[in-house]
Amino acid sequence: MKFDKELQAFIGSFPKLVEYVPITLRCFVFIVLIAFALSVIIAAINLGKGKVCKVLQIFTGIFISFERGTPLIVQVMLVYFGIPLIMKIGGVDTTSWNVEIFVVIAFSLNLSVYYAETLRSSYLSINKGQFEAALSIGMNDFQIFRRVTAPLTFRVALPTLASFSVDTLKSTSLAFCIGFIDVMGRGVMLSNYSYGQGQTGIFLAVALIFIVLCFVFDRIFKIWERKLYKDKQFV
Amino acid sequence: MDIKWLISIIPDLIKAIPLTLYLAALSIIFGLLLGFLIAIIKMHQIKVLYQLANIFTTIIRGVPMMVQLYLSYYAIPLLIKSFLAIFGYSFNITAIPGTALVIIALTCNYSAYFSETIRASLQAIDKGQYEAASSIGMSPLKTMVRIIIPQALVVALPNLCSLFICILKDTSLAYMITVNELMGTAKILAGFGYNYFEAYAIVALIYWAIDAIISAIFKHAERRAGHFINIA
Repeated sequence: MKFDKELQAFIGSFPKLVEYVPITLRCFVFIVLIAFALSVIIAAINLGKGKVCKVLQIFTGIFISFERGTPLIVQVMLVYFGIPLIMKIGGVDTTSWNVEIFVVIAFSLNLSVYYAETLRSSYLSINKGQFEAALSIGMNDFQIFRRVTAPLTFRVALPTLASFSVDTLKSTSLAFCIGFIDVMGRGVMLSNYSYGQGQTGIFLAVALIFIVLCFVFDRIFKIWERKLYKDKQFV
Repeated sequence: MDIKWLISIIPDLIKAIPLTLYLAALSIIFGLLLGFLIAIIKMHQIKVLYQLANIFTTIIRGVPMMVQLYLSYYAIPLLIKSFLAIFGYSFNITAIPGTALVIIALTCNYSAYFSETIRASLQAIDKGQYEAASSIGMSPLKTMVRIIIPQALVVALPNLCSLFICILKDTSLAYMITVNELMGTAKILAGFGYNYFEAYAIVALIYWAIDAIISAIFKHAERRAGHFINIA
């Protein structure tokens, strides 16, 4: 058997790949934060009952359907090739932009759709009695949102938000297609320099890193969930 | 934007749709079969196999689809080659078509997800249904095929719909290992004049349309099959 080459590649490439974990994580944190901000806006529009919201709902509806109905890699490509075209009209030169910007834009747009739908359904699942109780003790609209509905919505939504977040963490491995060097990008680079041997070992190392990352984030979200549910007063 | 060029590539892209659908269809069929097997193993907690199934599901869920695709692209030919080398056969790695490797990767990945959906829907069926079937003398296999699966299918339809769409979307990764389906064709066509944005925009629209058709079919099926729910 000649698997020793693969084993060598696995051991040799592992430290080189681990060096790039911070980049994957930094990118992931940006994606999650921006996606969450966007999703709050989208969810607010979809829940709104005013005339302006009704018009905006047409756009969010199309946006949500598009982001869900097209492959992620196509979306990444569209952002990567599309934003320079749009920026050119505005007279902005994007050639000096870091690839990470495009990656963050593409993935946060995609994730925001899934977040928004989760937040919307969680908001709708809150018991009407909560509003009435808050009103009865004289809270105004902002107070109700800040102290009652927002925390409740977030608590209900967190498990689903967590699973979408971990999915996106895995999906960031697609970003190497536009030349972003994260763990996956580095793995592909190493496999290109490997003269046709040891690629299996390299990608096994990449797989192992992603398994560990997913496991860690799963745990973090689980702990967070338990913390939120500790406060039984809410129920 | 080069409208003339855009229109000229549409026929070429449409010619690539069958390959995309073929990849998706075969992955769905094999994925459902393997997923059903895993679901049965998990439900009956068969020794050893149960632990293996759990490890398999955990690993598959932790590894990105892209990495799985590369692993299947590099590891499977290597494994076959070294396996045949034991018996003294030589083997030409390029003889394995890329489509087969894509289907293997997609099948492995989605069988884990299918198994969870199938298990959940099988468990949603009332125990009384099994008992009633056995009381009129049906064999376990017959009970499964004629009583349980038709009902479980109705429960599983919404989840299956989203998984089918996910598979269809993930076939677009196949171009990374040089399978020229929709995405790969677009890339090649766009490469001549650097019209990537336009080409990918059309590809996005095609995927969007196919997904809309799939979900429309499932919506229809759900409405037609809705009356089975009363039995369950």
